[in-house]
Amino acid sequence: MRIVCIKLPKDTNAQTIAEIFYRATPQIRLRQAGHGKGPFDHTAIFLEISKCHALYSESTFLKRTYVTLERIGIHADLSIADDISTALAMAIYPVVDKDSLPIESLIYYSDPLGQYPEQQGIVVKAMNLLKSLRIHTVKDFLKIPSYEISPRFGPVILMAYQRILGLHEIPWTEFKPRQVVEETHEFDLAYPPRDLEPVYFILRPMLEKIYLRLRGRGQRVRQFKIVLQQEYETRKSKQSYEVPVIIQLPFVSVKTIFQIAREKLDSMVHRMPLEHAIISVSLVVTEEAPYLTSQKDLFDQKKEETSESFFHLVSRLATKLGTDGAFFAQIKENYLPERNWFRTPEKSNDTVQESFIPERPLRLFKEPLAIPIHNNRLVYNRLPHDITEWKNPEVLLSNWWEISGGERVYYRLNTVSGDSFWVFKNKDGYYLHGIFE
Amino acid sequence: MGLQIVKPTIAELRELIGATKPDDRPRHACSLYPDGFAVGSFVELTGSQRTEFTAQFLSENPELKVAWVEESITINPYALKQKGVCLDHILFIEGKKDLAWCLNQVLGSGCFQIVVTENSRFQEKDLRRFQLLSEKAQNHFFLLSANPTPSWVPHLQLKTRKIDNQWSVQALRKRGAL
Repeated sequence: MRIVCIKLPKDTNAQTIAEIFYRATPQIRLRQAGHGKGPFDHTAIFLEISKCHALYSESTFLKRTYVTLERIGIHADLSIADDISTALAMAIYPVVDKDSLPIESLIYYSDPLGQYPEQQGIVVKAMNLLKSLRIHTVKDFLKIPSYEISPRFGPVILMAYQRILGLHEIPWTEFKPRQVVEETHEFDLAYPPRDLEPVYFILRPMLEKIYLRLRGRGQRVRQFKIVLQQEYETRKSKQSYEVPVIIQLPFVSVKTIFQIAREKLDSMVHRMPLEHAIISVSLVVTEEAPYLTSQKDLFDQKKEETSESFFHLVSRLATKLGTDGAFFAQIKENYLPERNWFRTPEKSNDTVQESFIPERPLRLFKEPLAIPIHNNRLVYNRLPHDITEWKNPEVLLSNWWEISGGERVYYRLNTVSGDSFWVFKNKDGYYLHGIFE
Repeated sequence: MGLQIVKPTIAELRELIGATKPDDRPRHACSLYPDGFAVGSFVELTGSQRTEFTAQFLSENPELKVAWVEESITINPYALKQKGVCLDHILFIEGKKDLAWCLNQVLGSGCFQIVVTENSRFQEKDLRRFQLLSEKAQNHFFLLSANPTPSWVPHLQLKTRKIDNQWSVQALRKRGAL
C-alpha cells in the first residue's frame, strides 16, 4: 500500500480539499484539527494511490498535487509512505526513513486520524518516560521486546508499536463528497468591506476551488449563485444579496467564469446597490454539467482560443438574457408548426434526416394574430393586402385539451404586393401564423 | 437645339479621378447575387423575400458560423432546415430590450462569420458601430428591413422579390468598393 499524506494548514477544511483529489483515488481518509492549538493538532488528507500506478507515478502525483494546491493558495507538506501513520509522521518530521522518526511520532501512530484526543495525555506521558530512558527515535523504540510494551506503557502504546511494525492497519471507509458544493469566506468583522473590490480579490480563488472540487467528481459548473451577506437587514432588501450566474456552455476556464461573474455582479450592484457592509461571501453551485475532457490540440491553438471565446460569449449572453436567451435549435418532426423545434443550450446533431412535412414559413409568430379577411383582402400592420391566391390548404389537428386545440385549416395567401402569408381558419375566425418572407 | 447636360454618377466621377481601388477582400459566393459578398460588409436586405434570400446564402455557405439575433425570435428554424440550412452552426439570440448590446457583443467577439438581425429602429450611431465592428471582425452583417433605411451606413442595399419562383434581386445602393 502507498499512502500520500497532504498536511494542510490547521484551519483548512480537509473535506473540501479532499474532494479535489477524488478523481485521483476514491480511497481517502481525513484528519481534521480541532479548535484547540495543541502541538499535535494537525489537518491532513490521506490518499491511497497504490492501485493507480498505471495512471501516474508517485513523483508525478506529488508534483501535480503541489501545483493543484498552489492554484488555490494552499501551502502543504507532502509525504509518501506505506501506511497512514508513517505518512503523517513523515509529513510532520521530514526524515528519510521510518526508523529515523523522533519518538514524538508515537502520538501519530496511536491515533493517526485524530479521532481520540483523550489518548494524547497517555501517549505524552509514555513519550516522556521513553525519553528519560534515552529512547529518542522509532528505531530505538522498536528495540524494546513487544511483550514488555503492554505491561510497561499500556495498550495504547502497544497499538502504536504494532502499527510501526505494520501489524495493525487502519480500515478505509467510504469517502463521500458533499451533495452541495459551497465555498464561504468571512470578512473581518472589524473592517467589513463596503465595495466589491475585496470581494473580487477572494472570488477568484474561491471559484478556482469550486472548479477543482467539481472536476474531482467529473463535473463542471453550469449555474451558481454568489451570496453576499450584508451586515444588517433592511426594509428594502434582504440581508443576503444573491446574484445568479449562468455558464451556458460550461467548457470555459476559471478566468472566463470569473469575468462573467464579475460582470454580472457589477451590473446587479449598479442597478440595486448594496446598503450595508459585506460580512461574508459564499458561492453555491446550483447546477452541474458533466466534465468531458479532450486532448489539447497543440497544432491548432487558434481553434481552441476561438472555442474559448465562443463559450465565453454564450455564457455572458445567457447570464444577461437568461438560459433561453442564447440557444441552438433542435429539430423535431411534428406537423404542428409551433412544436417542430425546441431550444437547446448546446449543439446537438440533427436526428431528423428527411422532412415529409410541407413547406413552412420562415417567419412564425409565437402567438397567432387574429386578422380580418373580407372580400379577399386582409389587413396586417394596418395595411390592406389584396389576396390573389389561396394555396396549399392543409388541415392540422392540435390536442383537444389545449386552449388553442381543435382543427386548423391553413392556407398560403399570395398577395398583389408579392407578400405571402400563412393563415389558418378555425372555429373563431382567421389567424395569421407566419409569413413566407 | 438645346444643350444636353449628362450628369455622371458618383461612381463614374470616382473612376475618372482614379479614386476607386480594387476590392481585394475575400468574398463568399451567392447564386442569387453573382458578385458575392465581401467579408466585413454591411448588407441591408429589403423586399418580400429577404429572409429566404439570407437562408439561400447560408445554405450555400454551410461552413460559416452564424449568429441570428432578434428582439423576439420569429425566425422558424424548421423552415431554415427545409431550405437546406445547417442549424449546427447557427446560434440564435433573443435580445429583447438588449438587442443592440447583444449585437455589439456578437460582432465584437469575432466568433461568427455571419451576423443576421432584423431592423429594430436602430439609431444611426448604432448602425455605424455595427458597421465598424463587422469590418474589424471581418464578418458579414445582414440587416433585414421591411423598407430600405435612409441611413448611409450600409455598404449595400438589396431589394429581393420572388415571383413564380423567379428571383429578382435589385441593388438599390452601393457604397465603397462593393
